[in-house]
Amino acid sequence: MTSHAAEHHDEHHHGPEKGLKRWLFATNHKDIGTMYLVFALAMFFVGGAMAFVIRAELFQPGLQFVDPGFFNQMTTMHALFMIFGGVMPAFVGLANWMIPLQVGAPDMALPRMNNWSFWILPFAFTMLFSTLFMDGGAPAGGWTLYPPLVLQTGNAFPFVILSVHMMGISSIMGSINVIVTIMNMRAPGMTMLKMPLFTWTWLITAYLLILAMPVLAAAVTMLLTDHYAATSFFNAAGGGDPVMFQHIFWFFGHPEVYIMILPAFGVISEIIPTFARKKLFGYSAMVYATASIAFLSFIVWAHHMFTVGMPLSGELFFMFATMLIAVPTGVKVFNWVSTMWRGSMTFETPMLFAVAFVFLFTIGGFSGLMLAIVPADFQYHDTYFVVAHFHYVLVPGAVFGIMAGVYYWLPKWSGNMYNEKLGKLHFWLSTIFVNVTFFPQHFLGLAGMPRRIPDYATQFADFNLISSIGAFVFGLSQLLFVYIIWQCVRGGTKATDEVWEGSHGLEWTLPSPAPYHSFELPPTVR
Amino acid sequence: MTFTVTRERVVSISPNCSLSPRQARIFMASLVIPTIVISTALALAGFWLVLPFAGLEMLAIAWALRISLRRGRYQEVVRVSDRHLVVEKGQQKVLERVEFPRYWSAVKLIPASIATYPSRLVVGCRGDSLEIGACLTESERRGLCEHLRQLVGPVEASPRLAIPR
Repeated sequence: MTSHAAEHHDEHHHGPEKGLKRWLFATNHKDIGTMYLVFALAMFFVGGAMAFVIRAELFQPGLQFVDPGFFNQMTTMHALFMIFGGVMPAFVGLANWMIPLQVGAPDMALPRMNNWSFWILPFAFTMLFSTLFMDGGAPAGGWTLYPPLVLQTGNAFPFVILSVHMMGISSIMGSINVIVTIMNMRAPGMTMLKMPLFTWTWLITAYLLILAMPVLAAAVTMLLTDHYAATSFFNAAGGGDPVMFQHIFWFFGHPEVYIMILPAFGVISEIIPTFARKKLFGYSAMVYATASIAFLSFIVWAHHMFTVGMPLSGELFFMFATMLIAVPTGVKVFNWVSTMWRGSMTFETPMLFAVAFVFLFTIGGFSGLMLAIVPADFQYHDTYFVVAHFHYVLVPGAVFGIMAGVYYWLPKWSGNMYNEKLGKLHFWLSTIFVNVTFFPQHFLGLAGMPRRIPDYATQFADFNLISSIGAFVFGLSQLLFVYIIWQCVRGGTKATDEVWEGSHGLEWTLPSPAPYHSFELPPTVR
Repeated sequence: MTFTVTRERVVSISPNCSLSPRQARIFMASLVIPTIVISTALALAGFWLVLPFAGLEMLAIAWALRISLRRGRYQEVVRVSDRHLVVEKGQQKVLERVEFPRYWSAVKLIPASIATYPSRLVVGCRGDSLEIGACLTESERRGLCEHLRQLVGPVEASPRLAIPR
C-alpha cells in the first residue's frame, strides 16, 4: 500500500487524441465501432468491384474481359473480402457501438484489445489484396480453400494463410470482448432474459466464433504444413485425405454462415417492434430459437458436400438435421410476422429493409431446404442455384440486416436524421435490383449452369444478361448509401433522444449523439 | 457503476460486476467443455493441430474474464471527517491511501476539452490533487461531485458534517 499526504496530478485534458492519433490509439467503443463500420463499407466496395468484374465477364457468352485464371481469382477474393472484410466487421462494428449502450456498460470490457482486434484487419486485407500482384496471382480455388487445388496457388499461398489467421485472431478477440462485456458488465437489473435481442444474438454469435475459429485456424495451418513441411494431413499420396479438409472446413464454415446471419436476426428483432409499435412477439422463443439454430449449425456441415460420397446413413442424418433448422428459423419468421400483425406500422427506411429481410431471407431459407434434400442436391450441387441460394441469405439477409441497423441507429450515432426520401430510394433500388441480380440465377442453376466459370453455353445468355444488369445497378445504388451516411453525419434535422416513436431499450434513453462513456441517469431496467 | 454513502460519511465507489465467481466458472465451463469435445474428436481423427489453437483461445478467454472480474473488485473509498479528507484505493485491500486536510481541500470537476469525453473528478489541496470516480459514468460522477462538495465544503471552510438521510 502506498500512503502519502497527497500526490500531484497534472490537470491536463484526457479526451481523445487529435487527428489520426485519435483513431490509431482509439479505445472508446464508439470510435472503434465507427472504424469497423467504415472499414466494412470500404471492403464491401472492394468486394463489389470484384463482383463487377465477374458480372461483366458473364454479361454475355465467351471470354471478353479477363482470362479464366483471373476470373477464378476474382470469385475467390470476392468471397473472402465480402465475408471476412465486409459482413463480419460490419456486425462487429454494430456490436461495438450498441452492446455497451444496450447493456448499460460504460465501454467494452477490454478496450485496448478492442483497438488491436480492429487494427489487425487493415493489415490482413492489404496483405490479401497484395496477392493479386504476386507471381501466380491471388488464390483461385474458391474461398473454401480446398486441397489439392489450393496448393497450386503461387507465391500468394502463405500470405493467404497468414491473412486468414489474422482475420481469425481479430474475430476471436472481438468475440472475447463481446462475450465478456455482455456477461460481466451488465447494469444492475439487466438479467439475461431482459437483454435486447441484438445483444442476445451477438452473445450466441460470439459462442459460435469461439467454438469454430480454432478449427479454421488448424485447417489452414495443416494446409500450410502439407505444402511446406511435407506433412500429409490432406495428401492422399502420404496417407492423408483431402475430403477430410472439406469436413473440417465446413465444420467451421456452416457455423460461419450463422455467424453472419444471427446478428442480423437481432437487428431485425429490434427494428420490427419499434415500427410496429408493439412488443416483440415471443421474446423467450426468439432467444431459444437462436440458441437452437446455433446448436444445429454444428451438426449439419456435411450438407455442403453430399456429392463427395458418404454412407447413406450419413446423408440421411445431415439431410434431416439440416431440415430441422427450418423449425427454429420458422419460429423466428412467425414471431416477426406476429409482431407486425395488427401493429400500428409505419414504413421508414429501417422498417422497409427489415420487412424485405423477412421476405427475401425466407426465399433463401426455402432454397436452402431444397438443397438439403440429398437427391435434389446431387442435381443442384456446384450450380448457380447454390449461388442464388447463398446470395439470397447473405445479401438481402445479412447485408440488408446491416443496412437496416445503420439506418435505425445512425440518428443515435450522429445526432442527425438521415434523408428519408433518399433512404427510401436506396431501399427500392437495392430491393428491386438484388432480385433482378439473384433470382434469375435460380433458373440458371436449375438449367444446369455450373458456378465459378467465366464462359457458358448460349442457352444461359438471357438470364446472365439480366443478372449482370441487376448487379451493376445494385452495386451503383450503394453509392447512394454512402452519400446518405455522409450527408447525415455532416448535419441535418436534429434527432430527438428517442429518435423513433416506438423505440425501447437503454440506448434510446441517451441523448443523441450518444456521449462517450456515460448515461445521463443510472439506467433502470424494467 | 454505483457509489453508496454510509452514515459514517464514507463514500464508496466501485464498478459494476454482473458475474459472480461461481457464475464465471459456469460460463467458462460452457465454453471449455464443447471446445474440448470438438478439438479432442478432431485430434483423435488425426488433426491434432486443433488442440493448440483451441487451448490458446481458451487461455485468452480465461485471461480476459479474469481481468474483467478483477476490475469489478476495484474500490475507492472517500472518508470525510472533521479534520481530514482521506481517499483509499484498492482491490480487496487498500493499495493507495491519500490524506488531505479538509479545511484546505476542494472538489473539482474538470471537463474534458471535447464535450463528449468524460470529465475528471479531482479532490485536492494546495496544488496537489487526486482523481477519483474514473470508473463512474458521467452523470454518476457529477452526482458524486455535488455530494462531495457538500461534505468537504469550499477551501478554507469545513462545514459541519451532517448525517445523510
